[in-house]
Amino acid sequence: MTEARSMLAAVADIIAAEFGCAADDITRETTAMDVDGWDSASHVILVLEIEQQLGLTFPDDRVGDLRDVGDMVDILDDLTNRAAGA
Amino acid sequence: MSDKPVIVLYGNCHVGFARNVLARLDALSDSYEIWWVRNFAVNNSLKSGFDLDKLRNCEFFIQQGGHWDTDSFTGWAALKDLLPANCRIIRAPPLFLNTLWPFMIEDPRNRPDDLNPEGAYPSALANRAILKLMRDETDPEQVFARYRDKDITDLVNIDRLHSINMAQLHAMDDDADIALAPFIEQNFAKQRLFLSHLHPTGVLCAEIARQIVAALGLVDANDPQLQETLNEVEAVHGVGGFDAPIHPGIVEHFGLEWARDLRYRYYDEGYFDHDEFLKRYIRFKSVPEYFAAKALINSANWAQAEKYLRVSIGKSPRSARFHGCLGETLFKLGRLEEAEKTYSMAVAYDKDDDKGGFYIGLARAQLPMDSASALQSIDAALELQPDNLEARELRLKICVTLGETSAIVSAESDAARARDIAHWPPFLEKTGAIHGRYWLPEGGSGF
Repeated sequence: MTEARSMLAAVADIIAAEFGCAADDITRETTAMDVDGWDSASHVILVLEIEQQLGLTFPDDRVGDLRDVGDMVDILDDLTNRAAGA
Repeated sequence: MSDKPVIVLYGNCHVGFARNVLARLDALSDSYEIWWVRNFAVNNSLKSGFDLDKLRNCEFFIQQGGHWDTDSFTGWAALKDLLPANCRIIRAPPLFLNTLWPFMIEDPRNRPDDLNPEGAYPSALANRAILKLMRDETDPEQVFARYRDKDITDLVNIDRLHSINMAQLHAMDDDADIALAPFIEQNFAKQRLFLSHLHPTGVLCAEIARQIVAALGLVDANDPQLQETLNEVEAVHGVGGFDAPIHPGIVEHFGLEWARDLRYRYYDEGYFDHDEFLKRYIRFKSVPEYFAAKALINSANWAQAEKYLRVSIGKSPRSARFHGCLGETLFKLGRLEEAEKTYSMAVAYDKDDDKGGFYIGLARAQLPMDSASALQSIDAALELQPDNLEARELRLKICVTLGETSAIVSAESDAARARDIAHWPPFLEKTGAIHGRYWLPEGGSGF
């Protein structure tokens, strides 16, 4: 739970920096529709920023299928756990 | 009120452009009303003349967007219940290419206002790498030097960005009935498909229109009028008031032969190479007085407009469009000799942007003083824009003034032909193309 929260916090910070919103307002349920400026084009830059800052790479087939922040966090957690287990 | 069935294209400027292509096809426009409804300005559309009742007679609804585009979703929710049960919905994907512009961001210095709703440097022109350098360095020359000294691959993983971009485009294709990601993927390095990450060139606009026409299934793919129209679209520069500069490292990385030595349009101020453009951006250089002048011209306040235009030209002395606007203003003020000189400068400074238009202005100013020169100017305009109705009508007027019967007969015939094709909606309309805030102006012809 603590780890999940910290991944959410990390993602929230990146989203906040990218779109100029408050990190505290970002929850697992937040979607692109909730954040001004987060559209299909800026999503690409956001994904790259997250990857660069967290040192992880989303699977290509999930990039366009991220419905909310929780989706992102779950994939990133999964990637982190796999990296830790490897 | 027409009782023709309706085709609605609901989306951004990409489908707005396609709407104007469809409207040129007799096979469609004879049988259908064809409308573009902006998916990001539903409330504006209500104010601007689109009667939502038309949706009840809608046979084809081209829906661009999907779950990604916030206002699209909101607008869609408001519209979908109005569509009849037999309306065919064709979904089209939104399009963009971040690959060539990896640094887009909102620049905190940007201040949109009523005169310039995008602001001087909207996110498509802003650069996060430069803003980062500006945190530690205040000298614009140093910021520029440091930016250009860096290897592009140290600033961004371009290949990964491209992979993410294409993955996103393919995913949106999967949600749609039209697939454009393969065309973009196969062609972006070979041809110029975008002027900035959201704004397509004529080449891509033609492909979008081609696929929408195919999806409608109402016009044969080999229809000569369709082919001719698409060829004409391909030659159009593209959508929007500016071109975003492409970093030379990215030009090299992807081998973009078409992008070498490009000059990029910055609104009406002119064309600049990559480095000039970036230096101006670092200084946040723009000419707000020009936007004020344009507003004054729109309200026919010519005397005030002249003042603002002279300030604008003082700041950007080689802007063809600034000179063109001043030429028009001086003409309206009845100062023909000054107008002639000013239009001549617009023609001289123009980089094939609107040279035909400036020649027309020049001919208008010359006509009362020197009809022979006016004829030369209008012929120069017609060489660039042979179907321009205003130019054909003016040529006829000049020929009448000169009094040569055979020339008058020929000019009359040419003007009549131009009148025949003048009902075609333009692919791009100047009013909406610059700032995108106008929705379906006169005639409902869209962008």
